[in-house]
Amino acid sequence: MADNITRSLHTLPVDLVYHILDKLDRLTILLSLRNVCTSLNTIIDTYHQYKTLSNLTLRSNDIGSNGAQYLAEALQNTTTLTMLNLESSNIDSVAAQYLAQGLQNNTTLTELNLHYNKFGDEGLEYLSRAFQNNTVRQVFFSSTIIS
Amino acid sequence: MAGHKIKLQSNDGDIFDVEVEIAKLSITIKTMLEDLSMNEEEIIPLPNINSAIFKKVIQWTTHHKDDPPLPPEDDENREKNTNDISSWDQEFLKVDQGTLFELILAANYLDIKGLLDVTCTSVANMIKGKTSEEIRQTFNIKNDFTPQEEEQIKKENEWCENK
Repeated sequence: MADNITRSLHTLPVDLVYHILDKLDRLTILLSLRNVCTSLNTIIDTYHQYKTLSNLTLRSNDIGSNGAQYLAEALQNTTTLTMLNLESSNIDSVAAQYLAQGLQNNTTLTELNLHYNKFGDEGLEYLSRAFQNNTVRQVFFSSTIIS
Repeated sequence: MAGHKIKLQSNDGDIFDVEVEIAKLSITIKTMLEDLSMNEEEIIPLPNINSAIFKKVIQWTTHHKDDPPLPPEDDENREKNTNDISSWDQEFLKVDQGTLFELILAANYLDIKGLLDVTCTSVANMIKGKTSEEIRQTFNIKNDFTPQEEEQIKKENEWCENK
């Protein structure tokens, strides 16, 4: 090539990196490619598919209360996410409380999947309070320990 | 006009005789020939491509010259078809990383969609299932985050890493 730079992933023109991102699912982008280096992060942050994330499946990910705290922050800020799947994600009552906080002011999420978790009656109460105010219309929580 | 050839010149000065039908798999060359009504006797310069890469491109287009056109890209099939690289292409893409990235640039410049797709898929497959650190090693990328940024990232990722 005319320039003598040895090309690598992070020195490709942006539109070509997008083309590679098109071949990857969102979770791979989130878990593998995020935080490799600053230039890749900048590219990912401007990547259309990532910016307009509307369905997020984090099934069987042991999110727990710690993860729920970060998710809650994200839920407060997102304006694109409409479906969140947290099936079998170790959502206990503390985690449910965080999620409820995050959902309190969220106006875009319409579907939340909480199958196979263990937030119990207490968690359910937090959540149902949050659901009164927001846009969530469909919630699934079969096989969750509640009385 | 089967077998009719045109002359294409790489940026190191080598001239390649390429069948028109094969050369036209490159939309860039096709446009030059048709829209700009370039004389087929003229040597077409390709200032962005060296001989080694151009040989690979000709090898690929020669093998794929009879492929049916690719289905139009939409969001439906965008995330499918990810892993499937034909065994011929897999063999073809057994090259060093520098060459692979040069091929992506060449496919993009020459506008050969099939080649661009398969090379990008190949890179995507190198990314799948790796951690950020493994990706740095794979592609020889320097970690350029400040210690503060690093700390922040660690905090954000705790939930999925401390299993």
